Amino acid sequence: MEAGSFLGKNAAYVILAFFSILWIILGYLWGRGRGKTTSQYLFAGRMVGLSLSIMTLMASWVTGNTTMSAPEMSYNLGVWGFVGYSGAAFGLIFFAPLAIRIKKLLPEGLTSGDFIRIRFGKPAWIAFIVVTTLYLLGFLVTQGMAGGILLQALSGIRYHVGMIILFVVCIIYTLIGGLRAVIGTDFIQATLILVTLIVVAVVAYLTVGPGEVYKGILENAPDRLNLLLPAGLLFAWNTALWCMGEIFHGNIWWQRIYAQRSEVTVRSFYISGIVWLFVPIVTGLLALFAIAQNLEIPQVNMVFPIVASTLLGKVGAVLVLIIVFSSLTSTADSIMASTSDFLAEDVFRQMINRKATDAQMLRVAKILIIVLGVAGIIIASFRFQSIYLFFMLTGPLVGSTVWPIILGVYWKQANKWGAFFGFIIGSATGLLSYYLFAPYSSAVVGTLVSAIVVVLFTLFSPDKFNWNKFRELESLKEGEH
Amino acid sequence: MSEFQLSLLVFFIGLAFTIATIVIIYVGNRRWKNRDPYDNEV
Repeated sequence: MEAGSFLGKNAAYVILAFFSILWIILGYLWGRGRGKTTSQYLFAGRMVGLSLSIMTLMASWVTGNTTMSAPEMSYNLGVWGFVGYSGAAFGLIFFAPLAIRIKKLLPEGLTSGDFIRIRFGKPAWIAFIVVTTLYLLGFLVTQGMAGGILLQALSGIRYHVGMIILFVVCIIYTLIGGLRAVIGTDFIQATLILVTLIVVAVVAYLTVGPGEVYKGILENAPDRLNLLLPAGLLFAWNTALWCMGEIFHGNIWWQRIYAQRSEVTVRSFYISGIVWLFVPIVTGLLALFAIAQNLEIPQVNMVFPIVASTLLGKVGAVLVLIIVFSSLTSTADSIMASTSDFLAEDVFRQMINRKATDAQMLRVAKILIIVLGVAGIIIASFRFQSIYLFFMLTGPLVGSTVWPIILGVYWKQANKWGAFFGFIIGSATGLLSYYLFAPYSSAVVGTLVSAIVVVLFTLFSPDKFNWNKFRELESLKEGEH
Repeated sequence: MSEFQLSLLVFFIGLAFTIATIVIIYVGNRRWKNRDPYDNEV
């Protein structure tokens, strides 16, 4: 199947223009008159309610990977592909109890770095900044890459053009409206994703029933149903641990904790995690459909667009464009907003200008949104064959943060050097295993090694951390405001 | 060790470790239920 054989370029440009203008207008309306303080611009006034919280969490977690890499893994690994990928829901669900503890410790917190710096000290904090910056940049780049690949596959729009459109639109409305614009557009994008996915899924399985799909797979690729497929076994728990790392450490999610009202924190993470599960299951099952029907898949990233377009023709192609454009923009805007918040606070204020005023912080955050967008465009220009394999490099990095953060949140004995060496050694061993053993299990290795390191350090030399240090930070911040 | 045996080993290690991670979160959450978040006795 050639690129651009589903939807004409003009039709694609019209749809892109419609949604791009819509997001920008909404960004302007939501941000108008409200972005004058960092509390408003970066945390939407810290008053976000339940429904917006659920939808922004869900939308931010439905990424280009969910809509394009989940079916890729399902296509390559069969049942373990989409079951294993669905483990990413663990990140949202099991962060709920941690989130409420974080909210109580730091009700006026600014970043995930705030917590690491106070809890574990400077060395661990610096290591954490490196880990999270690399991860967030990798995450942002993969969204741009997915956008470029999708638009080219569906409509023939050149990869670089599609990728740049995605980044520029996100830069504009995130810059104008801040987190309020991001959350507001997330609500609409999440609704679009869920509704259009339901339509595609229902049509697919009404057109070709589950029984026929099963027979087709047995005929064309019976190993995809093999639960003992070695690659599937290696992959099975990687995503669950990797995604716990992404969410437990990621400033996207900590920013939302600080932005929402405390009474909605736990429910928002539980509900969004459960609702999110629907997405990789549907996109994964559509990949099995592709196997059963023996569809030609010239590039593994194109499984979902090809299936939807084959079933529903141009309507399917339009729906896929809407789903994937919404998922990419909803994630890219969240990454830009949270990374600018993180770098403004943890690098600019904490390292460069301790006396930075609120106005200066706001200006720096806005400049960083532009810088991140441009960096994303430059790196995404080097197109990688598999978005997911490239992104998997971040698995051991973020996996190394899981146990240090859990222990640091709940136990005052958690050793700060254990956290520091956990980040370093966990990341290093995980990256080694990516290249020497299997990319599919590198996050398991990174998370496990980091856990062993932090637990051993804590057992042999328990700290006596004073929880009131968080209260002192809160008083300092109240004084600043 | 064959490729299959190694894969199976990684699978069970991953499973056990994922369960351990969930359990540690559960235990930690229970410790802090209905407590002052800054309680240094815990």
